[in-house]
Amino acid sequence: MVNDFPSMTDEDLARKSQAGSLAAFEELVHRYENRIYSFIFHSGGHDADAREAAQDTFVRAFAAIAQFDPTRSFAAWLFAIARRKAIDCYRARIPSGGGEPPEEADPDDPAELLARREEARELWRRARQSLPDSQFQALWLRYAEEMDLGQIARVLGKTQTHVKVLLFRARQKLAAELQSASPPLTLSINGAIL
Amino acid sequence: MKSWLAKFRISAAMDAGEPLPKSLRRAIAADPELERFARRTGALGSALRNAPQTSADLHGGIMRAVRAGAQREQPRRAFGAGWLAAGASAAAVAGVCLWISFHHLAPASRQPLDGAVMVLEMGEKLPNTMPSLVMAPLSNEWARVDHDLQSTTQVLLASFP
Repeated sequence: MVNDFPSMTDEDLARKSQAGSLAAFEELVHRYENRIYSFIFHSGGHDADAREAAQDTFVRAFAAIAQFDPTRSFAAWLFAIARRKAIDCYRARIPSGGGEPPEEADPDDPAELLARREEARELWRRARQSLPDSQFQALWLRYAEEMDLGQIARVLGKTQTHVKVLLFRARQKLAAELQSASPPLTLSINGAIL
Repeated sequence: MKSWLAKFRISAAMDAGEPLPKSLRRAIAADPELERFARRTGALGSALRNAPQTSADLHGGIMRAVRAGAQREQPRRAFGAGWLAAGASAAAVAGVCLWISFHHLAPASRQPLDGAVMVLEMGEKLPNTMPSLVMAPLSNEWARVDHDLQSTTQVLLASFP
């Protein structure tokens, strides 16, 4: 049977999941599995812990899908669950910078793109090392997930003003960290040097 | 303090995706430090957008866990539904008995076997009159109700001379 799940919004899929469609939930898993894993992994988990926490996130989400309000953002709801799982993950293990993430298999990338990715990877690694959890998560949700302030506030359980402050402080601290690095890390985006 | 506030306003406007207010743009143009901050914040944001997304091939494991979780939930729900159905069955049987005893005592003209016949007919008709959607999940419970009705009929029939 052909379904039109790929063209449906997350919230429509969640509505179908609430009506008992496991196939609709599977489409949501497909859309979010790597994003949730990345969020937990970069928030301080190790690969195995992050996998388990990502899995637990979806199990919990399916069990609680009836409580989701489809008029709101599914991403924010799911990431709020993932955040709690990530916290459990840190409690179980002292963060140590996250270790090395699994390599992405993308051998056809142009060298410039790879260099930019390496630069971003280093930037995020430093962010993880130097920022408190809440600032790191706000930064991740803002840039990696491209969430707006309202969604970030819902995920973190804070006000939008608080999120603005978290992002401001996170960028200030990260910029200072890059400047004090030896040798200083330079960003070549738009010709700006940090 | 004034500079900190201006920086925060620049940062907040960028996060909100709003254009910088005219007054702030003027302040940036007049202050090299603010100009550097705005440029640096924009550059940092651009660099951070290339976040390393990692692929971990999780799909199979997640779906297995979700299905297992859903199956664990099912017996619990069925257990609750079973109790509900059993309670409803008991109430139905008690109601039928009361109704029969009341009507058995009241009209003298009634045939003595009317009550038993009515119970038997009710047991046969009820599954057909109820929507299949309602009956399908309760087929086991319904079989028990039917059995109880049959027993009630037997008792009633046996009680008549």
